[in-house]
Amino acid sequence: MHGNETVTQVIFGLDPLWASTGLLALTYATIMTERVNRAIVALIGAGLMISLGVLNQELAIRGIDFNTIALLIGMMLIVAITRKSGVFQYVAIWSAKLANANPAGILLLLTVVTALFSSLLDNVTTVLLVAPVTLLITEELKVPPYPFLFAEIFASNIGGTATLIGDPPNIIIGSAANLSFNDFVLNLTPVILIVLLVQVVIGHMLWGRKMHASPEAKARVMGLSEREAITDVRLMKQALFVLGLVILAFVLARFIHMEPGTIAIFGAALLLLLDNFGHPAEEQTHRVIHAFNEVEWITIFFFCGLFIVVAGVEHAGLLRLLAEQLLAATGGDLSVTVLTVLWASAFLSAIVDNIPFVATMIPLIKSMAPNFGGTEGLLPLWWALSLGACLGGNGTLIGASANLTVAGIGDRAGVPFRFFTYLKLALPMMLVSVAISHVYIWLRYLH
Amino acid sequence: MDCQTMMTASPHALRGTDTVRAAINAMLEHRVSALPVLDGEGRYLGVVSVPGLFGLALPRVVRATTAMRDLAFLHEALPDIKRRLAENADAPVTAILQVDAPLLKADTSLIEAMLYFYRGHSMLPVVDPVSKKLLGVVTRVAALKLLAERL
Repeated sequence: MHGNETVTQVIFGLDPLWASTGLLALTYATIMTERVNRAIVALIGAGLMISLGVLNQELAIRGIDFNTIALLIGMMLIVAITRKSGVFQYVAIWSAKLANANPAGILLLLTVVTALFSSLLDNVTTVLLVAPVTLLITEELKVPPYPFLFAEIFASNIGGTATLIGDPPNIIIGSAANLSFNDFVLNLTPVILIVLLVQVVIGHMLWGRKMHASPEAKARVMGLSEREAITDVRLMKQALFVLGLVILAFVLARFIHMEPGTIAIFGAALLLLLDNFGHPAEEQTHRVIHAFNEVEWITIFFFCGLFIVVAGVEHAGLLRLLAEQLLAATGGDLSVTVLTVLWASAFLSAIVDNIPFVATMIPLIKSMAPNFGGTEGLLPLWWALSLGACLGGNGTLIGASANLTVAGIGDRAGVPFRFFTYLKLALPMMLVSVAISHVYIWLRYLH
Repeated sequence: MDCQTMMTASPHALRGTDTVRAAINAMLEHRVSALPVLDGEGRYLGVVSVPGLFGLALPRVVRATTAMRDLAFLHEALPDIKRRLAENADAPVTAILQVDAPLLKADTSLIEAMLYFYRGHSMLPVVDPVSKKLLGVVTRVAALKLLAERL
């Protein structure tokens, strides 16, 4: 909280609390309409937060979590360079052949591969890598692609929950609460493995066991050459080396005294160096520009704007007020508060973008520290927030960016994704995953 | 100088109900790489081109995303590719109708048409903006002939 610092004059003598709350609500509402690009909305919201006098520029810039921004940019660069090598297509084709082109086996393996990729890469990137190969394999097998794409949406959101770098909400939570890569692995990966297993079983019961492919179709898939999916062996080796190094550094972050943002940007710079080494200066310029163009600047500016909007309401005292209300409603009981955060996060994240939601919840949860014995006491709340926000995104077609990305690819490939058709199956499955998380949190932290 | 100078009036055109097979035959017969498609009343609907037809011979995912940078791993030969095209041969041409091709008016300048050719279009329809009727087409070969005169 910046409550004790000098507040600039809010124009027209408006109450800063009301002005900032109104701006936050307006920003959220406009983001939800999807009529204006979300980066524009967040930056306009941030601009207004400063123009109205709720924040000055210094406070606004201080509100931006540059560790999160650096981690996102660094990982986006590493993935953008790595994907050029074709290694992700290699793994997807290899999985299909490992299953002997059996549709049920492919469904299982692609679900697991998606979850694994997603735990290390951004969810949208993961589905952009896996969904096209999936469409190709299902077309060759002549089996319906919908179950595969549906399972991949779920797996991307589930897998992303497992690690610090798997999903943007975790990146923000980890940075704000000073939680390491290992903290996420030790606390979230066990429950995510259970959730994933349940999803795999449901997928098999619903679709996998009923799908069959002709011997000719299977032969076509077995005829795919995963080795030829690798378009640049040298780059693949360099990229896997750097990716391995970056993950090792995440694991050892506490010992080497480096923040995730530094590790990711350093890794990206190293991979850029390896990828450009020996090329003429002019060509290097083109290659670096190409790599930088692959960064999703909309997401980055959206985060920057959003951090400032949230800093505004935090500065004005809204989040402290909401925390007090929440504590009053839960009677200050840790278990009730944790489970309320879990379920509320899940339902809200199924409807609204989980990034602004988590960005708003973080300072709110932080302000509860005195009630729960300091920052250590907040740990179950962080895990509840992460599990709720990340898994909740599976509940509706608009719940997470990966869902809309797959739906978009599916629509263009003649595999329509309808809001209610998706909801009918996705919502119960999401509730099952949150119920598993509920039991896990209760047994591990609250019992 | 406007594009009317090099326009072919009354070009061969397809109907929206024509099949992909009919489009292939017409393109081969008239030795063109794109044809305009009209509705029953002669109003312009879009363009069908060779790249669009080739898209039907490729896996569906190629038409859905730009993610497939390479298809070497598919190991397909001519019969496989023909099989895929044959599966789509009786579909109406509207399945591959390109509706965002740039439209010219009779008085569109030559330099603007040249820009579209430079950007990869092989044929540009000239359409009356009010009645939406097709007035003719301008091809890049016609443009090249015009440029080559007394060069």
